[in-house]
Amino acid sequence: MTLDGDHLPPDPEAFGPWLGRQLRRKGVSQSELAAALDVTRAAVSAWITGRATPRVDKIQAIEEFLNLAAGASATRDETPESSGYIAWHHREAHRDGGRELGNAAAFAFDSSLEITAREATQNSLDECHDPTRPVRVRFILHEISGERLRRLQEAIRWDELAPHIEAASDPNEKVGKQKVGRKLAEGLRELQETGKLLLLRIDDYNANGLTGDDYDDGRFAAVVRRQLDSHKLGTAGGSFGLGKATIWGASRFGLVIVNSTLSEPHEGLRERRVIGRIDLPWHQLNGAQYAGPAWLGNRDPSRETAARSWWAGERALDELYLRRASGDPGTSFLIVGAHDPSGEANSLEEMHGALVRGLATNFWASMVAGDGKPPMLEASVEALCDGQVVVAEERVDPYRYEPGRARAIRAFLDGTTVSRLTKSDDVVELAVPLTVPPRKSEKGQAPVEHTAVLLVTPAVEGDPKPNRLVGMRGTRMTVVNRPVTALSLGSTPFQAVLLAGIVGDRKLPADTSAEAFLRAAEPPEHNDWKATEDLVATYARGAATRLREFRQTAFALVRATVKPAESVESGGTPTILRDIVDLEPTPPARTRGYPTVKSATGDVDETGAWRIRVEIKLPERDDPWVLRPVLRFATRSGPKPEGRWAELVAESNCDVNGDILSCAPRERSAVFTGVSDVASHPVAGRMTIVEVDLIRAKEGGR
Amino acid sequence: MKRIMPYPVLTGEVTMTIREARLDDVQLPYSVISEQDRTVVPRPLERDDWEVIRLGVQVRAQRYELDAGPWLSLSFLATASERRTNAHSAVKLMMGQPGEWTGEVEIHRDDHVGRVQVSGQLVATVDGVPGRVIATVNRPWTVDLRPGTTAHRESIDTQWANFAEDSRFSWCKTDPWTVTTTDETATLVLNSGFDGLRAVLESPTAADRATREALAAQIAVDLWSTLFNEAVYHVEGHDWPEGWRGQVLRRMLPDIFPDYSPDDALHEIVNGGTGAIQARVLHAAAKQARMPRSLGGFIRSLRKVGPEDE
Amino acid sequence: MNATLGSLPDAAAAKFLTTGVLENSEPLPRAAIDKISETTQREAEPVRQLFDEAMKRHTPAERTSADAWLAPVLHATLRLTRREASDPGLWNYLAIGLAPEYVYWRHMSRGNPPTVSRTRFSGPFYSQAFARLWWAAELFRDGPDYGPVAVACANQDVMNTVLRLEMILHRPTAQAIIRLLATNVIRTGRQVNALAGAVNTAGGTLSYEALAPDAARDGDAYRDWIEELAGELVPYDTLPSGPADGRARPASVDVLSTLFKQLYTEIPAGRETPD
Repeated sequence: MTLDGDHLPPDPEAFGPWLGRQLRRKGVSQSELAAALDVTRAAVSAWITGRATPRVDKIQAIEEFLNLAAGASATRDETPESSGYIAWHHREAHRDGGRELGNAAAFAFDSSLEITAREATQNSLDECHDPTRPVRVRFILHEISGERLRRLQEAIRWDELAPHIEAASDPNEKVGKQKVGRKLAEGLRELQETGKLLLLRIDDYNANGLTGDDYDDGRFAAVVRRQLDSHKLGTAGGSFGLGKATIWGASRFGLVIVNSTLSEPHEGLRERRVIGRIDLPWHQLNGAQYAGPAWLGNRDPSRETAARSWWAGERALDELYLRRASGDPGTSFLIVGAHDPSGEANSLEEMHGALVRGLATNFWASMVAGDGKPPMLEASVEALCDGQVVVAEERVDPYRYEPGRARAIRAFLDGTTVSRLTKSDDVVELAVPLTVPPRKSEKGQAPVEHTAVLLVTPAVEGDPKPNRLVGMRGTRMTVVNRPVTALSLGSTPFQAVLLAGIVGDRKLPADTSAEAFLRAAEPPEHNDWKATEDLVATYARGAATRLREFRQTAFALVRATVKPAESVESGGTPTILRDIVDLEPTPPARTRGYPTVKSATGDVDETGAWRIRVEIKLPERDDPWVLRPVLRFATRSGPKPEGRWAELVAESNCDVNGDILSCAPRERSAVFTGVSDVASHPVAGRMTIVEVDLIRAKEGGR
Repeated sequence: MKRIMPYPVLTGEVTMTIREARLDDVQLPYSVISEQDRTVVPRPLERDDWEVIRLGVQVRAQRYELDAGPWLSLSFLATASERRTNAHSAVKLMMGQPGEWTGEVEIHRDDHVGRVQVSGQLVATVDGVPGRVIATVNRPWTVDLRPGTTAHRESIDTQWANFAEDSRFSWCKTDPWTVTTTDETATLVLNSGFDGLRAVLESPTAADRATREALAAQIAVDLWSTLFNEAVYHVEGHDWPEGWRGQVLRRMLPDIFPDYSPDDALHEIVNGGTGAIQARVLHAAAKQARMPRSLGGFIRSLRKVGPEDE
Repeated sequence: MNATLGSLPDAAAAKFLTTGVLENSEPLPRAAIDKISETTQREAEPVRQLFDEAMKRHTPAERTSADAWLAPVLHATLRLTRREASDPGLWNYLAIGLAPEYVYWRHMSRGNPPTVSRTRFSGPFYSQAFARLWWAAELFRDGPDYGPVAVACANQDVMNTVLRLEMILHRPTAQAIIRLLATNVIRTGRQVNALAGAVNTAGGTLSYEALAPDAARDGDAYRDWIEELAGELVPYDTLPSGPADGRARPASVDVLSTLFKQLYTEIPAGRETPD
């Protein structure tokens, strides 16, 4: 440390917030500091707001008074991390006696891990920081037990929290009988019985992070403090703020710890802003009544029972499983006691699958890159158990899960679409008009004409669900997913994608209007465009009709595109006769009423003879099956020459008599071996393929 | 049929896709290609002046299996063949990525007339022997050049004719339907001059459904028993007849001799070894016609209207 | 009698082939046949002359030798595309409408009563009296050279066995087999059948197309040859010239004839002797 360094005049911009934070931490008021330093309270206030900077001697006095190392103010070191500062702060029950027995937002719709993946990722896309780079989301499932579990429980002050969870799930209390109470009890029971806890960590990178004040409007408060506050503008997908509810809903305890790297500094800092929140229902403990929610953080002396976020050290983050992979801004949510709310995925592998599915089916379009540009989104999922990889990190590949549709988006981005289908991987691009009516608030405004892009491409081979139309807005999250029915006979199986609103790079005013219009047409689940209350309330008369016309046009265009060039009226065959004149081979029944060769193996020995072992599957019957095993040589075409046996040996459940095989009655299988007679080969043995057939023979042989 | 090979062959599937079709360099709409039915029906062939159809073909084998196996000098040959014109051409495809081959197959008008099979084989040097076939395409494609063909699936032709005015049918002019066959095709001919036949068969109303199905089943029983007997007549020795005859026999023999293997059943039917054969043929035809369902539905529908009439 | 050739559909042909007709004890109703046949633009007379000439040049005892003479000239006189040749109507008409005398002359069996197999009049290409000759010429010619055709047709086992095998649709395979016959590596009918069996069986494991690539045939040259007929007279005493649509690649024929010779010599002893 240089001499100068000791007494560097502090940067007022950063010094103020730092000082305010230190005072809060120590629980020292501005007046107390003013008295100790022998300055006016106004002077201290001016330092904290950054309007003035203290003299060097005063700075040393401050460091001394706050028990900080000399120079701490210049480097803005934090007070040494001490567990004493971090605690759970429970909201007291409402004075009016009102009780909330569950989080309303969490019950707005049935949740599942797939929905959690969708909502969390949607939030991340909405919070994209640098639009020239992809937003990266990463899902890590981690099941911990033993020492790992104990260390985590220490880090999140579990022992403080557990009595509250137990109280909220007490079956003797009314609250414990509610859905939330039962869920909590189930979570506690499982933790106790298995000694295992599942963590689900959801990271985003290149997102804004939880910026803003601890209480005032801003991203932090929107996510951590409030319910049903989406804090979203523009193209945002989630207009109901349900995203965070599904994150908390994925915890059996409603317990999530958050670490955020901010895109804009708060209190002069960016990295490692941490806070925890648990959503419990109303409960009482030791005679006190609690509203339910509680926060893990620094006590805020200015607000009774509230907690502020804190700037954690690296080690604390490791203990919380929340250390981020890079300094790129964004947020990490640690869902403690994660589960699939739908109850469908239970093992780590199944949950991994559910998350990948949730990402692939909703965001395949955002993950397609084109025209030499990176994709909007990259996503991955991995699963660990006590630090060991169970399912390796899988980067979700849109071409794997949605090959046809991903190809369509790619062709659109690359500008390689065509006007009519001629190849199996062609993508046809069509225009679908949407008339956006004016808002009720914009009286006298004319409707605007938006042109959506419709992409149609032949389905890939084996596509389990062809002939569907998916629709999406600027976020490229799948909103509409509908089968296209009433197709002409002989239509090409296809996948269709409708891009509406803000489409690609063209920035037309009508696109923005259409984007807002369609967003208003989305129900909370974001799975349709229909006449929602919001739409009807916001837009002028006819909005519902315009929407219907838009959908009908899109469907009609798809039908026309995949229709065969000439109508396939089947040459006068009445429809009713079509099935019964079919000549395509039918697959044989698996079980047949006659003996079949179940397995035949063998090779050519050094004398050129075939040595063969054959397993026969027999239909059970009381009489023996009497068979002649026929050795044939496969040919390019025409009759297959028959070979002779030099030797036939029964191995099980049969007798050999000459070239006749008698299989024991009531047996279901028999095995024999045979050696071919070289003199009966049409060509050298290694040049032949042999087949063994079973032919009925007369009892007793020839 | 279990085959025993004297050298290692591929166990994974080799799939062929026809990605595009051009008729004398004019790109045909993709709807002529049916991936599902593995057919190409280049319909606008009513014109006679075309020369060649070029098919863009892609073949895929499992790369990991190829990497792990003992096969050297892999090459893929795509073939276009048609028995009627004895045409058989083979073209080597180009390997792009490992396990993936692409190329063009040409179909010349002068050399083809009906159903052209497009298939192929993967060839390699195995244990020092060059030119071994180590895999063939699992589901070959069919290019159907027959005029008037519209359906992608192979089926018995259906025609309407007024028997009273058509000399071909003067011998059966009062019948509602008949069956004609050649080596290539079997045709169900419906008598358009038969009062009400067309109206019932093509009736779009749901109320006629049961009647329509019962009538269709009756036609089907006649059709399949006739075709079966025609097909049996053409069996020579132990060989399965080609074309529709073989297909009819393969569909019906298992119902006629359920405890005989197909080959044994063919042998039995030719040698007339089992009595009461026509009764069994009738049974097999009824099964093709889905008689129990259609007729059962018809009888139920009669019962349904019964009480209301009373 | 029409001046042009007709086309007689299978179904109609079947009606005329009564037992009496097959035994040549009942005349064919020529007028009815002409009436039901669709007419074509092909002249009938040059074709009929071929059959008369064939019967003139060969005694009934040497009737099988007529194949080797008739196949090339029939091919060079008809000048059909394969598409046209695939229509059985033309062959039915030749056998039933135009030249049944030739079918009786060439194919009457020695049974009692003597009879002609139905398939000689109307049947698959390898069996029908004229289709088999045309296809033998088409499949065994080496471009314009009908030499290999004469070799093939001189051996009834080639006509009865080899002609039916799909492998000979690959021209180098067909030429290699004929070369072994022409160079006397194989001679007897039994040897032909043994070779065909060996090559056909080994062909299940070997791709002759891959071992011996063939050049694509020149469809335009074939078309030109068809159109040249108008100004040409097909010679009877020398082999005519076939279409110059390209020969089988000589290197490929070399490869396969060496391979086939090896396959033939490797046939296990005992196979050739009758069971």
